[in-house]
Amino acid sequence: MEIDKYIKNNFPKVNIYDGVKTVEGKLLDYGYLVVFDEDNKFYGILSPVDLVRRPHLIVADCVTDKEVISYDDCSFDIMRKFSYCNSSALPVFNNKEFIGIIERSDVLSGLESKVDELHKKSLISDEAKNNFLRNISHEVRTPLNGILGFLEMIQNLKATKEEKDTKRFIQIMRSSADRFLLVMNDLIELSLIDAGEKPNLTIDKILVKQIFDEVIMMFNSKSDIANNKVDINYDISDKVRYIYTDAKRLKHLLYHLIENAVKFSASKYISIFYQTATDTDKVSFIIRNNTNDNFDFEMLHPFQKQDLNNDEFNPGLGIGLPVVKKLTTILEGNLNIKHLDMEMEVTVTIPVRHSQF
Amino acid sequence: MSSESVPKYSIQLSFEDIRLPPVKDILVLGKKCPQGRIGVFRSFQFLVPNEFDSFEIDNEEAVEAVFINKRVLKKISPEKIIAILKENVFPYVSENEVLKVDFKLRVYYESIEGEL
Repeated sequence: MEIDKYIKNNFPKVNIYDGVKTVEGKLLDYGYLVVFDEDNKFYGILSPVDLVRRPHLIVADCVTDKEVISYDDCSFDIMRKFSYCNSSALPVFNNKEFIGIIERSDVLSGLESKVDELHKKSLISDEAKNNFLRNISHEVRTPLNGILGFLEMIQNLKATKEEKDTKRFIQIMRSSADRFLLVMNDLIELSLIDAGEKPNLTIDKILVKQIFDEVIMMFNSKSDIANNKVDINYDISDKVRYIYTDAKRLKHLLYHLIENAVKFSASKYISIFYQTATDTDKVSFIIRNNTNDNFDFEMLHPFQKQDLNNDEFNPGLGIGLPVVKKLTTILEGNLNIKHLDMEMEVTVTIPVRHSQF
Repeated sequence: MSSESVPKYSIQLSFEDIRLPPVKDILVLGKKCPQGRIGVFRSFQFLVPNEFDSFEIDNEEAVEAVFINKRVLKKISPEKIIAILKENVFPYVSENEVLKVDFKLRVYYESIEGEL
């Protein structure tokens, strides 16, 4: 049983008719005394508080009723029983038979070691996870980049007519590898940020329109989106707007925002645009899509995924929006999600000039 | 004649018959008096075995227990006695006190009637 390790059979004893004056010193030394009657049967536990409550001359008159621990009690039950009475020890009974006592300090130190052990385990697993993800960066990304490089070279070779089919297959392979690399990058980025590492930012002067064009181009080349015929409509109000931020991270952020909108859009239409507020020196990227579902804010935590209707399979790892949230923080911005009448609107607002510029 | 002073003494002496324990009817124990319920009960059992019953008193500020002679209990229930004590004695008991109560009980009938 769980409590076996706490049960003591060696404890300070007194007789029920002992005079209190003769046992006072022993009581102060041990903090409690186990009282036995003339037939050597357990009678009770005498605590210092008992002597204040019932200042009589013999032990029997001073002992107050206390909680009793059952042999099948768990640590939680034991601590609850200790909290009900002012005693540093309680008796343990198994089928009405006295089998020993448990000291409060033993249970507390047992629980402390358990908490300590669990805490250490969690740290070890956290460290192992972060080491694993760091290694992935080297072990997986490097060969993948090699494959991508050679695929690009093959694509750029002059092709004969017979080779055009092969080239189409290579295009599909490349698209899959790109996607795989993106997922790996997201996982690694999330893990490194969680591990407390500061990301290395490259702050450049960026033309927002150019970033938009590049992201939209990525989507237009994605076969799954092309097959779904989702129209990504974007409105460029300020074609010459320059901002000073990390282009790679911003592109990554916008990619996930659009992908999320496409995935959960109830119609074949999403809109994306940006607007600047000159007074606040900030720029907002706004993505809207139709949806039948209410947004669950748990989705902002890694690996949490939105429940879809009709038990549909929900693709993805559940890291898109958490990555958006982290990247928004890295870019010193904020994320706002609104659900308005069958429409979801996600706004990411970042400063025109990143503080590291 | 010696001038030394010789100590003298004087004793006042009397005899009286007592009975142990020195309680005939009821004993009230305060919560913090040196003797507790179990100790007193045990001494009663040694001195006058099976003559007193003890009753723990709850919800009283100063009183821990009362001992009532079974002779009295034969005539009136402990609940009634305790109710009478609560009203007439307990308010005057301090918690470190042991109080002897004389409880002279007379049972009488107004009239006893019957057919001749």
